[in-house]
Amino acid sequence: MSLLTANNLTVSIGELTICKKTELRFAADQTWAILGRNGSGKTTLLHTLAGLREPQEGIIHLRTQPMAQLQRRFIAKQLGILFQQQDDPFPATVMETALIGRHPYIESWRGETAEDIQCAESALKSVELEGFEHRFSSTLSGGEKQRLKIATLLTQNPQIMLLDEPTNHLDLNHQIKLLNLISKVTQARQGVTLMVLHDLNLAARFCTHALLLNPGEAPLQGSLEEVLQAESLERAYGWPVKRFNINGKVFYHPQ
Amino acid sequence: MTKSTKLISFLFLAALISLFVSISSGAMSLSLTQIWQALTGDSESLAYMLIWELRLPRAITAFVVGAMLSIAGALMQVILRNPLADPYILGVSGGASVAALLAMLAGIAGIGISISAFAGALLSTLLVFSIAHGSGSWSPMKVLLTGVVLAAGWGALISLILALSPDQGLRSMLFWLMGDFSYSSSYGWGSLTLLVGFIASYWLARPLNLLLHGSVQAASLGVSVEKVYLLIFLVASLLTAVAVSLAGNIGFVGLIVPHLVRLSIGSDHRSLLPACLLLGGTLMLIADLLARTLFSPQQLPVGVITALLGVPLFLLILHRGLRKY
Repeated sequence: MSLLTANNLTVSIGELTICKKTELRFAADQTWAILGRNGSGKTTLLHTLAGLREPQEGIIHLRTQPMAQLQRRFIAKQLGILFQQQDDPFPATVMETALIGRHPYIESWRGETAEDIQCAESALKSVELEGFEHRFSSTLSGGEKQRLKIATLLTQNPQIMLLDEPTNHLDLNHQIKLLNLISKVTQARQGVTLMVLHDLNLAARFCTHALLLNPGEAPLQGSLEEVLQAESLERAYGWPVKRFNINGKVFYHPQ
Repeated sequence: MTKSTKLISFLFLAALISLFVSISSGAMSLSLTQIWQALTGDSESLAYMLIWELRLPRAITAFVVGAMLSIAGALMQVILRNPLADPYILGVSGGASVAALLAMLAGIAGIGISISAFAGALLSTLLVFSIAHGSGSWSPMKVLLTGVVLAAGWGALISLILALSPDQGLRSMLFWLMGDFSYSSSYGWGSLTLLVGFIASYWLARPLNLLLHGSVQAASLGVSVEKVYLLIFLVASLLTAVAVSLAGNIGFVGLIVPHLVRLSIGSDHRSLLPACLLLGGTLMLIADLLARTLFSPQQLPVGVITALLGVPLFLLILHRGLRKY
């Protein structure tokens, strides 16, 4: 079943047309890699799919309902997004930050319940930030901040996750752990995850589908096998890429 | 008891004590029994008149103005996403000042000055809104820049009016510009505005917490950002406009009180807003008390005291680094 669908979607920003009259279907149990050069419109596309930006043309459906007609709070219970950039000019603790993920579930006259706090605690634990609850987020390292953002998203617990460069600032260990965690959550929720990635090997390892943006052309989409071929990657990135298949595992090597 | 409940109870107590000290001291100090008699209705005494007609109205006005400015400051800092924002940053006080000074120049006195200051504040707010919204899209940065530029324009007009005014009016104009409670006559409207403004912003406390993390993040977590922004701007502008019309330009309170509270209990608006109300009101009460009594019978402009009190207090707390920025 398609959880997130775009019909006849045209998105452009400035002079750049990211996609034109494109059909996109993101179904349960799929993990999509969104790939493309810098400035090819990955983030803009992600924000459009999250309903945070009006498309030039086309309709985005959340399950069967047109997103533009839905309340933000209703959307937030189904769909969560991890932003690439975020700066917090005011002090907030790690716990307070993780708890904002519960916002869509709490009525405006109510406070957080013990259940909400437990939810935030287990999210923090899953990104290895237990014991950091009372630290200020401004005192965290880049990688820790990134994990806190992911914990906030897990606290929100949406079925559809849109992740903009989730592995930013993460060390090797945490990159793999995080992507394992995301796969596990996606499966458990029978959800769909879209992630902007720059590492083709991570995409090959953790994703089932790929969307490859080509400025000035229609984006390529489909299964990993269909999209991540050496020629199309070379065209998209403007750099020769070799593809290896070793014992059924696919690896990419930029020349 | 959590840290924020502790702080709020402490501030509540401090507010009561300073209110009491404020109505008991002045050119004629009153004893506890005199105050009690006056409050319980011995309407013949001098103390009764002194308290009900002079000191209590003035004390309440001071408290209300301080509270309004502090809440407005906290709101402005969040929606403009700028720790340097204060209630006056969008030129509200500039507009109010120009209108008030023009009224003084025209020989209007008393409540007329408050009314024209309020009109000027509203005019300035509308100007900022319509100019910043003019070309469609709308961002905190655009509103901020529009406000700052307009404020500079008002500043020039103020200087122009001062330069052209006859000497005998200058002193009262300067006092008004520095913030002064001697014009304040009615505190009913102020109290009502504070109540409405506080309830509205408290209702939006959790969305405000989310807005601290940026408007797109808030939107992605279910906040109707445009609606909340608009409402908060209206509340903050209204609070500021009424505060300015009651007491002129009192700087600093609206900037530092929210920071003082954040430094000690963090940025959760459910405790930040009530704490701002109490701390802002109390600081203003104390500042007004000092302004009335330090060089009595000579009165000082209260704005001078708020800055003189505020600067060292803020630096001290910042230096102790209770909360990390």
